[in-house]
Amino acid sequence: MDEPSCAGLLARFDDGPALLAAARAAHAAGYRVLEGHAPEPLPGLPAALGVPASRTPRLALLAALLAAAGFFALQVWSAVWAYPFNIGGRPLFSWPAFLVVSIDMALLSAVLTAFVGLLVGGGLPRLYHPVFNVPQFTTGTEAYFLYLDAADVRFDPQATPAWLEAHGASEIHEVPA
Amino acid sequence: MSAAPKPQVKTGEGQLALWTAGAGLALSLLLVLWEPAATLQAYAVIAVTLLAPALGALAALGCFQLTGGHWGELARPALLALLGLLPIALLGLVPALFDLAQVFDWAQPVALLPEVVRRKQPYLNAPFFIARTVGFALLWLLLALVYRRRGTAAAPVPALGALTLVLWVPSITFFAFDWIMSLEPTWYSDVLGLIFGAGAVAPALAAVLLMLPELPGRPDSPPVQGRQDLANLLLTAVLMWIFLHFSQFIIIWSSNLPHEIGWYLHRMSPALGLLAALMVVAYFLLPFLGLLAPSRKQRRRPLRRIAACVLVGHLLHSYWLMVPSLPEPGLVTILLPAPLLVLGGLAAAHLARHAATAVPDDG
Repeated sequence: MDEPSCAGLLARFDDGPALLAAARAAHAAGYRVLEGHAPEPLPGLPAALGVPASRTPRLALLAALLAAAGFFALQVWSAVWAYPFNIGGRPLFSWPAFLVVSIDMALLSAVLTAFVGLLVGGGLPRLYHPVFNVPQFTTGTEAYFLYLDAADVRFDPQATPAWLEAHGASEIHEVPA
Repeated sequence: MSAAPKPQVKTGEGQLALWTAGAGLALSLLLVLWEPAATLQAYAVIAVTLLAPALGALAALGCFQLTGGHWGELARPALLALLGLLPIALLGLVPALFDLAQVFDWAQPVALLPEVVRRKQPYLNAPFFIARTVGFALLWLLLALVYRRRGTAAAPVPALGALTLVLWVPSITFFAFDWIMSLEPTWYSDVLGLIFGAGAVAPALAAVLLMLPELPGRPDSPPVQGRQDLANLLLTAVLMWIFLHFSQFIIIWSSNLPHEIGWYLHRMSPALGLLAALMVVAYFLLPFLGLLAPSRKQRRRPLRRIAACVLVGHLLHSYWLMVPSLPEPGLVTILLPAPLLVLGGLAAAHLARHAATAVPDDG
């Protein structure tokens, strides 16, 4: 059905609310392989596009808990069993001192997990995106784009441009693959 | 001390609160004849407890002048109402000023003081102490007056915010040194002022979250986003509080020096240990876990529950900071209800009047 030379359609909108409305309409119409591009952060755009909630916060929390538990256990093991040492007459299991390293390592693990999650979630291994084949995509600073991928089951080379036009797109570009 | 009832109060709750304050005042007059020292100490404890959210509101208003934002516009009516607690709380400090020796050990005759406290006399002496307290009170009242005059609609002025915050940090630091740290005059911790400061901002933000009206709108509407920002600020204040408290503890615990660790030794009994554990759970653990998930920060009910939890933690924290340092903690604990009725009643009357006159304004 789709031509091999066309990766998808790039529709330009004149402002953020128009893009948000079109994104909501596209998601409601059943489009699932779609992207929004805006020159500034648009609150609500991920929700409008139907992007699922990120797993990164949960993974970061899990990493923090594991690191805290692991480093606390490591310190207990080394201070109580492996190398018992009397420091100022304090008990061998001096938990307040162990908290410092545990919390620091928990924070470091959470931050590193979130950083890696950001890179992976942002699709870093992918070094090329077909939207850059459209020259207008990189020139507009006041331009808001909705990208509909040709791989979408709802995508139709004839009907989709008309649908975009009906939903307020000011320009529609075919994206060369 | 004469607590003049405010005539404008028309709400039933406000009337009840004023009657409560009156009954508390009568009770206090009896108690002051029976146990003058413990009564004055109890007044100081409750006054400092009530002062904290008012000072926290001052800091939040100062921040808003610098940053602007929906959170501040949303919180401003409640923050200005909290500033109204300032004169009530300061009134509660007045009785102690008449006889400092009843509350503060360092105000005893010099011959009775230990060597280390005698060397602190250039700072810890009655005239200078009273001058400092009066100076801080005038400064805070002046700033509160400026903010109340500007009202809820004025555009933020960064210079005013900067001035407020620059004066706020040293004033609350030395106030905490005077009214909390000097209860045990041999003890010293330079981070205590900031602990008091973080412990002032958190209950102020919690009180604001409790005082906010129901917000119409979707989760991404500006008022709901502003409330979420307030919840995030509360999370920051709570984290700041536990961080500073733990820093103070780990440093004193590590060095284990006689004149420092005594403060913690006075708080080691099973009852006070349980109180400290409850305080950490209510002030830090439950709010921290509750405020982690964004979805909970967008809904009113969980936020109100978390805010109430922080306020309970604030009460426990104030008690834990001050009462174990006093010579007769048990007696003071029994007498705490009297000042609580007076100052709490006046505060409740003030806040009830605010709630009755508040008009929900969201643009």
